[in-house]
Amino acid sequence: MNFVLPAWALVKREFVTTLRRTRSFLILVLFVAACIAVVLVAYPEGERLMMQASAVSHQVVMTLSMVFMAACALFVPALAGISIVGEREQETFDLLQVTLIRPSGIILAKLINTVGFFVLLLVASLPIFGVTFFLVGLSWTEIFQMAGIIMATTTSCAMAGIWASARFRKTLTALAGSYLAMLLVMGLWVAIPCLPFAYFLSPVAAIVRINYGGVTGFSYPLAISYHVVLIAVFFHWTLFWLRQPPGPTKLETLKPIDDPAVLMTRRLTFPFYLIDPLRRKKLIEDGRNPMFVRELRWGLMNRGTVLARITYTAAILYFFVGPFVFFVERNTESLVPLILIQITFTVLVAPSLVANAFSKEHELGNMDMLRMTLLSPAEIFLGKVWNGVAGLAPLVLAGFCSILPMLWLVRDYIGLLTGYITFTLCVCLCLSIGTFTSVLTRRSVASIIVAYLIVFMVFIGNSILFPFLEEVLRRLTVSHHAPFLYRHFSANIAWFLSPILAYGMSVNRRDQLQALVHWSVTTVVFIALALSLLAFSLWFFASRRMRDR
Amino acid sequence: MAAIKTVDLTKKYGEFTAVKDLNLEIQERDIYGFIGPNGAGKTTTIRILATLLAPTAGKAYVNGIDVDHSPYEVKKIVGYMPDAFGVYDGMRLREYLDFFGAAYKLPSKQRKTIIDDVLELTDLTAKADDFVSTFSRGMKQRCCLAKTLIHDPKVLLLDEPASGLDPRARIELRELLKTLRDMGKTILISSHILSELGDMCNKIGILERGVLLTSGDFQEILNSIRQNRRIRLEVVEGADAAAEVLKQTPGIENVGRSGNEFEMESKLGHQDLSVLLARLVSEKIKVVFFEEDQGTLEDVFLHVTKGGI
Repeated sequence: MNFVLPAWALVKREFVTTLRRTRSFLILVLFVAACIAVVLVAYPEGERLMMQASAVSHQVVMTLSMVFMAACALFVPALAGISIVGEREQETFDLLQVTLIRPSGIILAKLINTVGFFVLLLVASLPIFGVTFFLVGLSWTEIFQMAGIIMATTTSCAMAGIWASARFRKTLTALAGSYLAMLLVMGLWVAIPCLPFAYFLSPVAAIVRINYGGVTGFSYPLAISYHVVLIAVFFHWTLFWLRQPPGPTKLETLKPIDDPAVLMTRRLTFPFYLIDPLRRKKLIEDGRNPMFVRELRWGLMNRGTVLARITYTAAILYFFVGPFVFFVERNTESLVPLILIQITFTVLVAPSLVANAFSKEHELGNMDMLRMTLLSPAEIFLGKVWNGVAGLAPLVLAGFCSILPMLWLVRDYIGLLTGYITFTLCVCLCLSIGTFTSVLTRRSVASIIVAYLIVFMVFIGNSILFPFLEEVLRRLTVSHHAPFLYRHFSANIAWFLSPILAYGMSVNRRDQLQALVHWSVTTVVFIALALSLLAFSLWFFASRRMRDR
Repeated sequence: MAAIKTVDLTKKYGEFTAVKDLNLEIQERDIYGFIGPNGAGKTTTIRILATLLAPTAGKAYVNGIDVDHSPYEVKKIVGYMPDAFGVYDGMRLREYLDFFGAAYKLPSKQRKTIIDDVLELTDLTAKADDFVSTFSRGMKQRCCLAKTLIHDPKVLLLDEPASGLDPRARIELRELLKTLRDMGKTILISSHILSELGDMCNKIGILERGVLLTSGDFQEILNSIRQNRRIRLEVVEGADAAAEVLKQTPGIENVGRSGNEFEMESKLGHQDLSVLLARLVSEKIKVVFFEEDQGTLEDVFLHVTKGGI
């Protein structure tokens, strides 16, 4: 094997380390469970099976393929994105480079490992996939075409992730780059509807087309060639970055801006006047929580530039997009896109700001020294949480400022109020979820990824589950002759699946009062969820993190 | 009252026993060297004493306070310096110490004076306004020691404080620990650099695979492992005559010769050794070196431990 692939030793090591991790097993179980759920819900019953077998088989296969694509989009960039930068951070990459394995061998080994893990997921789900053969109407060509698209997309996503991992020196940046590259690989061409052949270059669109018999001419070879070109280009770029000698350490990055004149100027600009950097020169006052003071004066100020940029971007985005949408739509429903833009931006930014609060202390080796002080667990915890609040406050403020012109334009005061409360609730949820994952894990990368996944599930994922829940309940209630329960569920449960969904449903309803009641209950439920997460995090920190077991 | 005491202290990680029935007693003002190979359980013991790790069984006391039941009270009197630690980015040394001073609930009026004192003690006054993240390894060790001393703890737990330091920084650290000993602190220090521990510790404990093999006064342990005194002799002229004299002297055994140098084991006391030296001189042998080999911590360590993993 070494003759065929000189980096075989590396491939073996990669496989062993990947498969020994508990999270690999968990991902496998979750993936298979998701596939089973999809088939259970989508598989037709009795008469429908006989009458519409062909259409249903296509539907089942397409849904399964979408699950594969979702798994590819979620796991492949994460696995590939840390493959090289992770080795750099653990200081094992230099050891790898001094072996006789060539850089191309290293890239190939990382690629085989990432794609191999995904193939393992596919193999594990084959028995479930096989269920579709009991139906009719599927041809081998269609199945192989879909498998080809899935594998080509996985390989190109993995290669793009490995490029990001070689290009960037920090894990978080590499991960962000990996996910962005995945989005480009998967969805770029959908944005160009004027090019019909380009539409096929999006793997999701390709799978839909294959399922509904839309493959004509050069479409399929073009799609595969597109991925081959992507793989080759990313491989070349990765090789280029691996061969780059490490640049000199930028000493100036170790020093934050500390010049009194600069600080004096900044003191007068938003949002720095909220923090007042010159206070760093004073001793920490008696009676104040030193943790909060440290986080505010040094933690927040050190990333002040990043925060300022985010805030200014948010403010500009909110200010211009809201009225623009209003003038395009010219109705009160134009509030919804504005609030959704605010929430989307916040959801993209907030977890990365707060989800490393505690894990970073572990990583830097400061946690032991903190725990040895006389600070109580609550003081340490609240210091961190207040710092999160201070970090996110400018975003909420920018959102509020953007509401002001809409007060004059829209004049739907209740809609504005519910919208702004929903937006603030989403910020609070991001804060509590970020704090929760940060307390739970000791690694920032894991904490941030899990935080984004939970945020995704709470804000959008539950809504995706709705059709499944509805179908399951329909079958259960119909078989027990309780259609009322099913109707009641369908009519009301959607409110409580997501704060965003509840807000969207509450806008411009005829039964305004009932809508407000539903929205209020949902908001209270999610506020309770946010507070519960914070309370659990504090309990977990006090009982499990202050003293190791 | 013992400054540090453990009674049947045990720590298990699953099936693996890191520390087994450890009974340790360190008196006030002792400098206790905690010695053992990697994975012996030194850091585990220190972390239990520092309240950072819960023991599986047994008890640990610092100044008579149970670390399991009153960790807050223990933290007030213990200063812990971990073997691996980080520093906060963007903080100057004075700000760093101010933060930890506030975290140890020192009133702000006293804090400034205490910070100055600690900086002077650790010889860091000149670096007070420098960023801690730009410090060298040795400076960071000092910085961490300064942080450890900020609340004037009675007991210091130092886990490998000299690891990674250059020779000059090690010598400076050794001198600093001697100063702390003179200030009346009880110090428990773990290290692999045995020669340094031998210089500064009055008591030692040797741990291997979680079991305390020996503990007590360094010199007593050294004497207990050596049945005979080791004498070294070097002559300029008359080496053959010297060999003959040594052979004829009762109580001198196992004489080894390398040119004009001799090494031997002796059962003789001080008086008899002086007689032996006088006899060598009277035989016209030109003696340039006659000394008892004091033995080192390495000898004790190698004698007591078995090695292996």
